[in-house]
Amino acid sequence: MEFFSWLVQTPLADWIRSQSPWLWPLSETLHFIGLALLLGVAGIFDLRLLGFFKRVPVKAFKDALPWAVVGLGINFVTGMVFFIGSTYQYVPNWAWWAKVAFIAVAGVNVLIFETRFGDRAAAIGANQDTPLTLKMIGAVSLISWLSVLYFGRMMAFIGGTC
Amino acid sequence: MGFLEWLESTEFAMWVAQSPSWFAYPFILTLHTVGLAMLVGASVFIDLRLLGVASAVPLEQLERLKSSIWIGFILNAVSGLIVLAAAASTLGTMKTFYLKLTFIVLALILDTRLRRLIFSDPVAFGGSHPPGPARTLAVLSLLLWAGAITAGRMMAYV
Repeated sequence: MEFFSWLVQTPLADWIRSQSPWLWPLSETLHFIGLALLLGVAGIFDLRLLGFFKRVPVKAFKDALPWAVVGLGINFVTGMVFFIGSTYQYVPNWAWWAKVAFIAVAGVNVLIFETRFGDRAAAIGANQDTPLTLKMIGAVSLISWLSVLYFGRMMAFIGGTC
Repeated sequence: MGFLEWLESTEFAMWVAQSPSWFAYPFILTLHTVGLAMLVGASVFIDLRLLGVASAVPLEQLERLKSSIWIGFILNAVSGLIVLAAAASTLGTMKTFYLKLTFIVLALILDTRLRRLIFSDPVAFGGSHPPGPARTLAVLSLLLWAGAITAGRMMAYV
């Protein structure tokens, strides 16, 4: 596609490639640190939605979510370093598209949660169970992020070379 | 033949290294990353809580994260040993590998002591601004895990 051939020739892409001896390993390291932050913080919130840690009010775990967003931000920026610097390593790889698709699923799930259930969820106090819809949102979130991790790891092994 | 060469030449290690099956190297590497999220993710959550994040979460409730921490640790010890066996003579002689092990051992010792400290008196440590020693240990724990991840990633380069 024209967009990808344009992207890979931008000055930013050139710069990333010229700095790759240090920028690539640094970005990979940060990508794993971001992963731990995102899955740790969002995963614990998902577990509460699923019915674990019932003695903790939902709102209390929700307060930690900005740190999951920090993890997501780190991984978005470092992910862009990989993608812009080496676009054609990823575009032909179906495992990469699967990863992007599950990021989209997780994103839509967050949007549905925040716009339609955020306030209701925050009102669920200690020792209160979550309704089925919130359990489903928690399950979709957990499964999506684990799938993102799985296909991210698989990119080097299936669907092309990375 | 040294130990590392012997380990690498076992039938199982060769299967892991060479089999095109998804259950060989790719799957084990995925398990290692899931374990990372469970072990480091849960540890980081406790550290963040001690540094004032989500202070409405009753501290004593986080003691149950120990199960995630230990499942993650066992998952990574086992998957790590398998990945190591598959390339024992290369990985087993890398300085970065021993650096990674050092960071992990230090982080585990520190985290165990930190949890013993805070869960022995969750009232004293459970406020929004826990006593200094707990916060210092929490920062150290974050640094050690970041070090372990960094050294682990560097094994692909150095």
